[in-house]
Amino acid sequence: MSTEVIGAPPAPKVRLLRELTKGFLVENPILIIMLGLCATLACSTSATDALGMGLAFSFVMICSNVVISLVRKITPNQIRIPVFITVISTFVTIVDYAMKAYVPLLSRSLGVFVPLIVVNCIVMGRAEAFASRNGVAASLMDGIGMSVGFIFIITLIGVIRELFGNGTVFGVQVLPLSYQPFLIFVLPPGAFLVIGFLMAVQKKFFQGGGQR
Amino acid sequence: MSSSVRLIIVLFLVCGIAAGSLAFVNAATKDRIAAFARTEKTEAMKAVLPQADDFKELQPGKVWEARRAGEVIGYVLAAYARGYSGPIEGLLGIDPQGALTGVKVLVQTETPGLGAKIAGEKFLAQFRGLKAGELALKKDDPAGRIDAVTAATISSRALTNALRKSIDSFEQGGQK
Repeated sequence: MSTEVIGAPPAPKVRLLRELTKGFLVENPILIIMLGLCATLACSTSATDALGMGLAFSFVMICSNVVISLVRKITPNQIRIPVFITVISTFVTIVDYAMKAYVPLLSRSLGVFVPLIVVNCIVMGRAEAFASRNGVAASLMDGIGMSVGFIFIITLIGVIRELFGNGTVFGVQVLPLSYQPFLIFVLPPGAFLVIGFLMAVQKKFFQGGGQR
Repeated sequence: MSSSVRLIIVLFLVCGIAAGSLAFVNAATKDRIAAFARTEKTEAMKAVLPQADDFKELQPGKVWEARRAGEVIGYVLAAYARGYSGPIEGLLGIDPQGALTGVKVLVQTETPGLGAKIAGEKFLAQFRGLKAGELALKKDDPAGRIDAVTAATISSRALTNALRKSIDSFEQGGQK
């Protein structure tokens, strides 16, 4: 069945719970699976942008996981990728239009990265590795779990970068105005630095010291 | 044969449903998106010339005449510049004496935290009341009155020069 389940399949309820929680730390899409870094790096210059990106991503992730899981039995194997892409890009376009209409300023600051969720490897990866092989409930849980993990990490990166790079968090001045911002944090190298440190922290404290 | 027919039918159906739902979403959001673009332009013009209550386009996309109770109280000009990492588009307002009443940056893709600050009030407030001849960075021109944003000289210079050129070409056009 799924490559995700290690060892003997546990009872259904326990398993659903695990699909939900695994995305947070154990199989965090950014820190462990290390997919979707493009959006993560580019859209985490401020906490607000990061959270917006996380929410847009979550909508696409959860909806496409559910729909792909629903159609997995009627989709012939040869055309599964075109079907996945169509489903994902439909949800991306929906979220893009909705953001343009209702949160135009956020939509503008995220720019091209909202349409680029289409090629976000987390969405595609979960569709291929999970939703196309598991039931709707499990896929829903997987989508929610991955989304929560993604939102948590991208927002954390956004908060750290905005705090050190600009002295603010969610646009609110936190550090004293005399603070000289480390501009590197809001520049692309800062994203790599922060993500690297977060991965180190995650490995050290939540994964038994870097077993792989 | 039958298997390839099945492929075609499934993909056709999936795409059809996708297209249908997108058409629905487009219809639902189209008006709001267009309305936002319209009000944003008017809001931006009000921001650079707050006293005005009506704007009349003189040159499409470039010059607008600002009126208050039917009387011309200034002009709104568009300015375009090539910034550090992409185009910068802005609007500026001038009063009939040619002094700047306000500047607003509409589009910019400058570096967040550095060049992006050219769109901030702290930088743009410097422009208020200046004339075209004073629009230059202090470090470029002794007559200049503008302090560049720290570590964003290219962005600051691009915007400042674009504003000056925009006023210059408008004033020359007016004399002809």
